[in-house]
Amino acid sequence: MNALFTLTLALLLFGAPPEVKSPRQPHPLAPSLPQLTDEEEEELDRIIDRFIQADIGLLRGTEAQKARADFEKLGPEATFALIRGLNRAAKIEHSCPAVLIAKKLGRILGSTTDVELLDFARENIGLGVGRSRHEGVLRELRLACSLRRGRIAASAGGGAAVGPKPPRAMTVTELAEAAGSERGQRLKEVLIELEQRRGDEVIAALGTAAASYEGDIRQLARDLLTRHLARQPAAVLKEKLKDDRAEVRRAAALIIGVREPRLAGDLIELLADSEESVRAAAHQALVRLSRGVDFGPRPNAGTAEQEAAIKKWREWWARQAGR
Amino acid sequence: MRGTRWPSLVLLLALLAAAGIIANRWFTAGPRPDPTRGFIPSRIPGELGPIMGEVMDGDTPVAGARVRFKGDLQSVLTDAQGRFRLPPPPTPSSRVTAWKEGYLIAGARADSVPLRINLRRLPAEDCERYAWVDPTPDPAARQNCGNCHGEIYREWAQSGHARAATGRHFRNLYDGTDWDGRPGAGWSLLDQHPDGAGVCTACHAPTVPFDDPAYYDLRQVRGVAALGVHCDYCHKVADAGGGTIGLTHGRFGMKLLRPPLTPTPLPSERERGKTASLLSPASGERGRGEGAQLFFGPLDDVDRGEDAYSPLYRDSRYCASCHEGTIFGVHVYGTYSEWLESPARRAGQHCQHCHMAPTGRLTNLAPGKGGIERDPGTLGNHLFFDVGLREMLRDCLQVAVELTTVAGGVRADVEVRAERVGHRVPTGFIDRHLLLVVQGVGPDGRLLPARDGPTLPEAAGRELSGQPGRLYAKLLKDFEGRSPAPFWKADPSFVDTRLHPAQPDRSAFTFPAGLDHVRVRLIYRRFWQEVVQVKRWPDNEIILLDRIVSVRQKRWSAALR
Repeated sequence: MNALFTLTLALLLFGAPPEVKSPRQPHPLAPSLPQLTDEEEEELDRIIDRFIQADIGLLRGTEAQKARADFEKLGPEATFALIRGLNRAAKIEHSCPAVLIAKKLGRILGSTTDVELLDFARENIGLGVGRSRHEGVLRELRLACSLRRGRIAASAGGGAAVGPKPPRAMTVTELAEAAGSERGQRLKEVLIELEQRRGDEVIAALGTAAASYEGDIRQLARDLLTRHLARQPAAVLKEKLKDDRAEVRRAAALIIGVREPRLAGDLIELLADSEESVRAAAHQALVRLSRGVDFGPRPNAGTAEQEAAIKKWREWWARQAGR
Repeated sequence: MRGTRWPSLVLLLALLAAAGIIANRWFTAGPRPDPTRGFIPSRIPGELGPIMGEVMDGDTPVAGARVRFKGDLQSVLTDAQGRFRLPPPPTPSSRVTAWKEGYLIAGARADSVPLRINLRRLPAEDCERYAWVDPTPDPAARQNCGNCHGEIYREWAQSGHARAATGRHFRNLYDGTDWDGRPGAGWSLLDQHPDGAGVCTACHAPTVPFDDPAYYDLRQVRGVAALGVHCDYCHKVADAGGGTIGLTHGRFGMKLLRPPLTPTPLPSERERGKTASLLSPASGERGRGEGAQLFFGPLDDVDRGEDAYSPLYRDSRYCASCHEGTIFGVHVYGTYSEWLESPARRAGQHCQHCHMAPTGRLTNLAPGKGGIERDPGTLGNHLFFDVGLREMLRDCLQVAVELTTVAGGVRADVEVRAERVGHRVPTGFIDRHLLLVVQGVGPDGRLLPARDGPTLPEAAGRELSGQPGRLYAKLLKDFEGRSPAPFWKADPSFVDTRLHPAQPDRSAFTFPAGLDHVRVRLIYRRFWQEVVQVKRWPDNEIILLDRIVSVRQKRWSAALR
């Protein structure tokens, strides 16, 4: 394999097959790739820069043709240079080379089994680019590296020939189970897929996930739960105010607060909910529905204040009913 | 005398002090929540006079906010204290609206007391997880754009923007099919430059997610993204983005601002320094509450609580990221740079001036759905070619023919001009071209070959190749010199013979003695004939002019419209 890389490189860089004296050393950061000299890496950078120039219209005629052809010949040995080139194209916000290099890199990384190379790519794609309009392209490439790495690891660990079932191919029950057992990126994918399905099982699983996890997973689960409930009719929302899961009650209250003024009366009961987050959501929703009128209660209010606030809200609601 | 003045002076001072206190309370005290008021807005009875009010961001006055009666063309700016004064309102129920950069448009009834308009800031960040709203009218999906904006939807649905991802010409070039969907029909981006396919998406289907396989293969595009350049995408553009026009394409060249999944906190929460997650607009179920949606547009008085004004919507830069583009090294789209050099730009006219010109038919953006009657001259069309491509081309082209007897023959001097246009003609996709065909005809009806003068190249097609005439085009060749060539295989160098705005193109043809008349034709073609034949496109050609000019007539000239 290394000898083949050497031959390809030599043909590319120098135009003639060299005498292969000894096999290349594997690259310390990616054993599947040969270690190139600094000069060879620089030459690859130059090829990619010439391609970028051609792709944005700075080269003409045979120069442009050669630049494109040289780029097309690049193989996996140019992975490091391609990552650097992608970062340069994204940094100068040139869409055409950024998308083309990303596509080429995606193909290379999508077929490698070198987890160290995938780790390197994930950590270095977008490095030093800063805020870029092309961040989406970079992010998806990093995500693809993570997914590929996960599949390889799972395959190696379980001895299976294939990776885990993609979320799109899973049933709602499988997704609901996976929402409780998966971790990291895979868990996010499972939750996102779950949200697009239908049924009580979805709401229950998202509610459980929102309560079970911390940090960004918790926030994602909450967002997805809110998004999912927002598609439900008023009758379902009303029912979910009495759900066993606090996260579900909380999300239902918030949605009613922006969409269902007729259910304002049902929110009042939740001001005495056992969960602080539900009480706060119900209060917030009532203030919104009343267009800024606020009868409380304050956060952490005592029972007396809570009861007083509930009484005032009920009176307010009775007045609204007459309108 | 002195004794009688003092009481009057004291009384005057007391009155001034009282007035000062009232004015101070008017302009500094915020509205006090009235728990008994509920849903009922406040109002003042009595005659209508000039009205005063203030524009606030919470407790902070907003200076420089633009304030107007909704639908009115006249506006005022708030002073340093956020105050404004307007003439008497047209009706007691008129709404006063306010907007300032960085804020959503807000409004209040003109008879509100106090008349205080609270502006809410735009979200700081774009929410990439936002789910796009479908424009298609659908009673079951109340948020869909076409439910309320029926006329605008109908216009847009007929436009090229609606077909950007799925139009047959585009798809046939993209995947190598012909008009009837048969594969293997000539030019094909996917076959000939597959890695380049992802470049199209930024403009043709700008709402395809990056993780969707359709991003690199638009044959797989589904859902709202398949509707191309749709309402929700266009109206999520907050500003032109960074990068370089022509090199930063489509969505990458736009600053999108999609509403957050966790919007800004309510005022009451802000006071407590807390935040809370609200309804996600990404649900596709737009709420009626504040912060549920966010749209940008060219009107600064749409005070539904989810709209913001952007001057970009009347500016050519809005169109530039898709209508200017160097792709694979070739300057494929140049309309914006052509406009930059045009007399139209110097006259202050932008793309929207012609391509979104008011039709006069639209008077209400959302009739029966909360829209108000407006001056039809302020509402742009969403067809982009309101009177049709043929008429827009004819509207900007002028032709003059002069026949002069010369030694041994007749010389035909032909002048073609593009006037009242903000770009070269033709413009847009690189293969569009214009053909001037000037044929000499004898008394017996036979064609007389021209003795000299320009002739049409092979690219004009078998029927017209070699005929006297002119080709106005960007004619690409590949690296082996073959022409025409698809831009993804082309040498970036090419000759551009298209018409410049306000610059005449003159050509002379000499026909032998015995000429009876010349037949002058001006033909617009979307694509090169050899491509059209392979693709079996039925709608390639538009005849803009077909005119006989007799040697006895000697001179003929006209604008084509």
